[in-house]
Amino acid sequence: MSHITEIKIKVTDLGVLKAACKRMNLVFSEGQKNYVWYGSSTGRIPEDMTLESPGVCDHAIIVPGATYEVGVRKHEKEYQLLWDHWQGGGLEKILGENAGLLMQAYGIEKAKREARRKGYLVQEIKQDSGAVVLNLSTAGGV
Amino acid sequence: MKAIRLTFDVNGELMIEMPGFAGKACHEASQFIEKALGEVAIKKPTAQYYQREASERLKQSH
Repeated sequence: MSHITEIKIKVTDLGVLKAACKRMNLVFSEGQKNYVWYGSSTGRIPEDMTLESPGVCDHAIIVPGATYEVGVRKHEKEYQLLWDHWQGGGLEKILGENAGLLMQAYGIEKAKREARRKGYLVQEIKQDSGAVVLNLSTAGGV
Repeated sequence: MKAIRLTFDVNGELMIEMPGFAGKACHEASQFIEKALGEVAIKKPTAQYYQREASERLKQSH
């Protein structure tokens, strides 16, 4: 192989985020303007947040089995995912640390769409570590 | 056969490997994925990359 690239995934495609939610059996709640987090039940707001920012979003993700929700907020060209990782809220157990599993699902769905659009054949392989490999190829070489 | 291998880890990070691609063609082929998915954190050519680039330059000089 001739080069290796590591990429920090950014959410820019709402349609793909919806597909990622479906993949993980989460519910994408379009247009939901508030999401459930610690502050919404107690009224307390952490010092590093403003009164306007916490709990406010453009859409939300409902996570079955968790009491808290994920907020989705548009910021310039990117969608930010907002959530409270307190264990009692149940999100981290399902979404992974720093919502890594949700980002993984988004990345897989986005890459599959873009690759198929370019004419690649896509083979998906789940590894024991939880990582997912996509092999992109064309029948006659790329 | 040339192929692109994408590995998505559980932390939401992606590694792209390009078996069989030569030199700059490698960067060109992976660009659509890089552009679609986010921000390149690390990009490192392997020894094979340099070997092939050198070989291509040698061919062009003859």
